[in-house]
Amino acid sequence: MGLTIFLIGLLYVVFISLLIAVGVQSIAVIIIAGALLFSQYYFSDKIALYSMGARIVSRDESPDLHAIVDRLVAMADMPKPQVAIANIDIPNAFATGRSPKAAVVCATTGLMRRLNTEEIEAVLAHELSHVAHKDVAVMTIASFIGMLAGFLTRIALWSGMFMGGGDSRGNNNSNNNAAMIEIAIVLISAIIYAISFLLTRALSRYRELSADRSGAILIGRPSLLASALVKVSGEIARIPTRDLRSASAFNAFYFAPALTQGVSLGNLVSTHPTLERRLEQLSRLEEQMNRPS
Amino acid sequence: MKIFDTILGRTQPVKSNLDNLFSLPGAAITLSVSGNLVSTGKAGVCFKPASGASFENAISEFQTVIETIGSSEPAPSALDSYGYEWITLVDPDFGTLVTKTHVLNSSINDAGFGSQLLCSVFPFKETETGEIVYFVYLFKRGSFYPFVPIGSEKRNSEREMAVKALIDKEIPIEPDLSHWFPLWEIPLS
Repeated sequence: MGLTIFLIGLLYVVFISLLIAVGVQSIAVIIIAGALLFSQYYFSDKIALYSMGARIVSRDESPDLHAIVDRLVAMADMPKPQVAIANIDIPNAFATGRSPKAAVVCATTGLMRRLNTEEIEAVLAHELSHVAHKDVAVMTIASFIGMLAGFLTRIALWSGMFMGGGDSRGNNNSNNNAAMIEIAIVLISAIIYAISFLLTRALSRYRELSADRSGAILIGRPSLLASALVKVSGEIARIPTRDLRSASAFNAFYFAPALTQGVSLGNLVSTHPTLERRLEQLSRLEEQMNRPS
Repeated sequence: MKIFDTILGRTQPVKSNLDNLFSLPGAAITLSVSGNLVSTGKAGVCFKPASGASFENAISEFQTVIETIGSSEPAPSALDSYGYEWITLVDPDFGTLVTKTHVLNSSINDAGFGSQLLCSVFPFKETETGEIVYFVYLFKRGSFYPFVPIGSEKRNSEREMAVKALIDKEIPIEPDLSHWFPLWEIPLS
């Protein structure tokens, strides 16, 4: 999963580098990259819904899901997002959309089949917290800054190194040097990109914990969210891997990631904190609520 | 600082607005004179029960308060199918009923559980047809909306609009129609 997103990002970088190599101005390149990310952000709801095969459902089609969302938005006093259902047997939910006013929350049919009403509500409270925290916007900006860092390094190194060696053009030896320099530049910008990628991941995990916390406070029952989390994670681990692979590209928007990563390197690049970390936070909240005021 | 809250992924729980509740007794007169709608003498307070002892304490504290106001027995409560708790308050005098509702809401609010409050519901009966019109008070927005259910999971939007027009000037009506959510099977005992 981490690899997927990393490769998608790398693709962006390679594409942009190609544009630079072809001779397009660096400023134009940055504008093109920005435009690409902006459209990804602006159409985030449509892209996510389309790729998950989800569709917006009316109140008549799914009165229960609407009723749950209605009550949550009334308690949180936020605009009601659109409600969608994805016909997938993996129990999960995601929220997307550029702003709280243009948001969509989506539950999978697997989630609605396996969890009871209150647990579904807990999961949706977590998703609505993502909407309230404007997580799609924040994560898009964060990943854009990461990529920008990669490009800028590249541009800076290009101009710096070639300005120094500009007078010895035509020489065989310096052609060789130029190739070496180019490899170095590619390596350095890849490293910069990798570092910013890890930072973006850390940010994503932090925001998952924030959404857990706000969601638990919204429903007033941290343990309920914890039990939904355990149930969803347990069910996910039990389902055959083929389905999981097909869904793993969308982990960033999910309630629980489809693949469980136990090793420490996995934790470093994972979009979600470990289950233990999330449960620990929720049990601390529960304990605070039980403390007599 | 809103921008920092966005960056850090923090949101504050929304405060409840209880004061607009008191505009209802005045509107009740208009409702009975020009709309033939009278209170059934009941009100329902709906909230999401929080876990923990301090929430339980807030509710039982309220039950002692309600007894000092003059009710002989504790107010009955019921859970609906979405896991929300409804406490039914009864009083023949509408003004006292609204006051009792306010007492219950503020005791939950003062105990620090204001974010758990969903709504309060006041059923009114049309004296000739027997039709029930619910007035739903949204705590977070401090506004009302009418809700007229008919049969199984259908609502009479036309009637709701007509009732809204009737008392638009006297009570704050929720302007955003997407917040007029239906409440099926309200468990008022």
